[in-house]
Amino acid sequence: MSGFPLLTALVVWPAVAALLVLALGLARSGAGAAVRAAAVAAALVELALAAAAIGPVVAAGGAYALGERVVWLPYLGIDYRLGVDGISLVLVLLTALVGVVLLFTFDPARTPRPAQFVALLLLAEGAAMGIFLALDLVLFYLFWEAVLVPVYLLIAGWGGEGRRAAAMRFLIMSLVGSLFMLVGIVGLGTSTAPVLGAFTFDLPDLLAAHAVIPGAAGYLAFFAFALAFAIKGPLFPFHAWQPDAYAEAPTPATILLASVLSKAGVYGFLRFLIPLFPALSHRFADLFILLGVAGVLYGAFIALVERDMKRLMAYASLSHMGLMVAGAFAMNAVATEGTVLQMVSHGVVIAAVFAFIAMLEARVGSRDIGAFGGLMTRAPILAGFGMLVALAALGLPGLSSFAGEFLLLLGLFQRSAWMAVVATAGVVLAAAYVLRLYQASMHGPLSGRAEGDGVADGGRVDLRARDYAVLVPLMAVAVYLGVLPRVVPDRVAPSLAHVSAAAPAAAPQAVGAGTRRLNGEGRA
Amino acid sequence: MNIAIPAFNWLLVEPLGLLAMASVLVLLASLFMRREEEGDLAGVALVGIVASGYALYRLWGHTASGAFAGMITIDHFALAIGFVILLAAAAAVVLAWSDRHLGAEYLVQILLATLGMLLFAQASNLVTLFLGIEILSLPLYVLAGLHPERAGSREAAVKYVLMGAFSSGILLYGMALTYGATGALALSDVGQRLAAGAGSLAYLGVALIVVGLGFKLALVPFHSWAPDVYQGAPTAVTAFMSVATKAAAFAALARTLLVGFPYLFHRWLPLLWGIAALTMLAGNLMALRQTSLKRLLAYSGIAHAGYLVVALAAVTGLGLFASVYYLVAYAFMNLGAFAVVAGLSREGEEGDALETYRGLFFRHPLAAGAMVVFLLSLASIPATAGFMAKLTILLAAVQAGDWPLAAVLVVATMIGLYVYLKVVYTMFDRSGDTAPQAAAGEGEGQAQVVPPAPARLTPGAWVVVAVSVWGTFQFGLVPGPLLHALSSTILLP
Repeated sequence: MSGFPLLTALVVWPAVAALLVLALGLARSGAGAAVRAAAVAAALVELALAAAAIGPVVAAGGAYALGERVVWLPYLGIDYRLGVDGISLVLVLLTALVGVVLLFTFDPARTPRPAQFVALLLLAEGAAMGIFLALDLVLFYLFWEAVLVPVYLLIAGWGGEGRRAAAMRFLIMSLVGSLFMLVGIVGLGTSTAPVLGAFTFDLPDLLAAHAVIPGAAGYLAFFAFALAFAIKGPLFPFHAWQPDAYAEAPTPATILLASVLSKAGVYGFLRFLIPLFPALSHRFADLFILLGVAGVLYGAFIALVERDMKRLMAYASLSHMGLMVAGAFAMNAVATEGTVLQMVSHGVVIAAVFAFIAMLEARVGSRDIGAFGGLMTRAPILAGFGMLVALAALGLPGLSSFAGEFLLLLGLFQRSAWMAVVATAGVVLAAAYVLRLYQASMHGPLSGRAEGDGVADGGRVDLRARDYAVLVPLMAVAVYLGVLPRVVPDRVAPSLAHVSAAAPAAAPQAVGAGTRRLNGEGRA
Repeated sequence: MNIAIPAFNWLLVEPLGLLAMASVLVLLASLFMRREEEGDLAGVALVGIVASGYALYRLWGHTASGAFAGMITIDHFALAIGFVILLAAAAAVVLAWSDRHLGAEYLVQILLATLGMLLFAQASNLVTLFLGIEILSLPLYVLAGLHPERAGSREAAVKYVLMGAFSSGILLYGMALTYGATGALALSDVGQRLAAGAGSLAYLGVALIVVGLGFKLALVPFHSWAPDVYQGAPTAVTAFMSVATKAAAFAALARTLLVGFPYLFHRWLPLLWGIAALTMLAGNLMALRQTSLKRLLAYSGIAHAGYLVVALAAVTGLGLFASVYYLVAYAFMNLGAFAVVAGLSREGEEGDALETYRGLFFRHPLAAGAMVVFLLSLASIPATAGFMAKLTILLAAVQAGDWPLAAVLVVATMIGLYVYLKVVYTMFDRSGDTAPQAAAGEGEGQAQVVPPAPARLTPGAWVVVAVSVWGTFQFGLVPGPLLHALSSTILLP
């Protein structure tokens, strides 16, 4: 593979595929199925490319692998630099996997302008890859913004009733956050001039140079970064865009937002904010943990009473993202490994949840939690998979969420026992709202609109082939990570060690502690 | 009495001379042509502009400060600004190519104004500075009123003349005070004399010069003429004015302050900070409520002048570098946006009402797509030239320690986002064309019938749009070569 720019291919291939799909759509109008088939093929190629990165990352043992670096803006220290380590690898794999399955969550025959729709999904996937692979702050910012445009168009063009307002709010809030981050990026890049003799926006160089912005400007830059990541996550109370955007977006875009793009926020905290501002991160860690835990409870309580299933899971997602931010700021290796594991796990499970809701909506024509019930009698396989998805979402041991949440809370407990206790209460609430959703739709007598619509007219209501294509891979990963969770910390721990070594001020704790605990070596 | 005759290197004014020759040629040729044929003279004008550009190119690397007895300075800063001015002039000529209303007089005025602008950007003496501003202003007054049958055009011209005369007077008074304080006219002499110390005369002089040039740059609070003039003038003229005048006036401001008054920077820097902050915020805020695209772009142009002043206020080499980069980016994105507006204008009727653009994407996907690129670039979304240029300005401001100004720039950019995205949103909004009758029937005061845009852009507009799209992406994605060339664009102190 030497010489082949694998990471550039990961970023560029979806964009190329998007153009090909567009061309296909223009050449053969009304060829929704063919367009989808082409997109699936492209996404599978992307998945293969992502899988090809596993070997080099393992071989690099925590350092950045497959690095690519080209001078982009001379004199300004801005480079085109990509690299992948354990943390980004798991997110790249998540993105590639979700990128495949989300193509099965919509009906191309009923989607207007399917070629444009699929092309935008692919473009967003490529930009998300860029977010996880960029090692230059300006390049990172470019991808960070680039992902907004396709997602905005997806919501505004294919969303539900309130799509325009939801899309606009999503866009404006995201842009405001990222513009502040740009000031922070510029501040960091220029702060190195006295040390390095030139500007640099290169993350490893900045870490090595211990770039520090002195005085009040340092606080400004720190919170500028934090705001951008908090809005993206979102972290309570910066979530105003999220419920509407999740609810109004077409299902594949909702999955993209909830599963992949929300992780970009936590990734930003882990990869950029905490290593680049170690002192300030330590000083304000409790604030972020407090906001995270507040989000855990707030999201969970609203999810308990929300009636629209998509909004319910949007708030549930807010709750889970809060937990991940709290884990990221627990500032110890156990919590961080748990956070990354939980990022992957949540990405897989939430994709399955939103796909499941879309399947329900397609069958009964409503997302209202009280509109129907007893679907289990008509669609037993759907109900069975639904049960598995629900159990994964509420964190049953043996499924991926349990492992992630367990490690995360363990680490959080080391930092602050009280916060961990309160956060655990939020996790318990998850069981209540997830089972509420499941029982209302599946159990009880066949009722409501479920009798009137597609369910009653004798049509096929159980899982179809494309539904299997969504649920089987996602649940396979959820089970795999539940049984063998150590594969994620095994990749993350060396990279954490690498980052800690680059920034000694970050007070590294026993790296790999989480891995050992999971392997039953806690006493070693 | 002994009069020293300075050695003149005529090659240094070759770009100016070629423009003058082209304008005379067009004027004379038009005497022998019928009115309908005059449009073909655009070819002559274009050749003149390209030749002038080539002459500028040949001067690259052969810079001379204080040529013609210190009257003009040819340095890379002036040359780079010159390219921007010529680019805008070429766009103005190409845009008007198929417009029957714009004949030889249009071309002549464009060429003469371009000449004045080049001179303005090179002037290193108060006299040439004033000569430049007058040579560029007089043709622009005529151009602004070139559509006399339209009420707005005449009003625009009169407003422009009055405000222009007013600002020239202020500028001239500032120059007179400066001369009184220093006894020198060459900017470098002024700078040297002021090094020894300056009195209130010089302070007032520099303040009035900043105000006078501020009018030409349309900085807040000297901007009030710009929206009316931009809206009333033919769109091709507006495109030209918004880019070329801005570039030339900015170059003059930068050179005057940095060469003539470097020792007074503690006096004019706070002035620039205030003007920059006010201009950025007010420009974007006022753009929010516009319903005419030309007015919206006028206010956006005001805001962009504010960003340029932020670069100047850094008072560093990087700041000047950033300002030239920004002007190049601004030239492409603004010329492109105005080209779309010009292309969608119909006979004698300007397509500038925002409502005309509702659902444009579904009628003219290509034109609307290009417009989206220009608007996103103006909004400084990454991957466009507008973003990279603004990033460079931000770098310059932060490096110079202007954190407050950087913060204002970011806030202004956020407001600007809303301004530009609103237009993008309008172009993708389909509600207008699905139920026009229903809207009229409701009688909500929406009685005016939205005219459908014409079937196609003129070929000239397409050329400008294509070049602008290329420039917007070229200097947003692969700016290396440009930065390489510009790295020497540092003004001689």
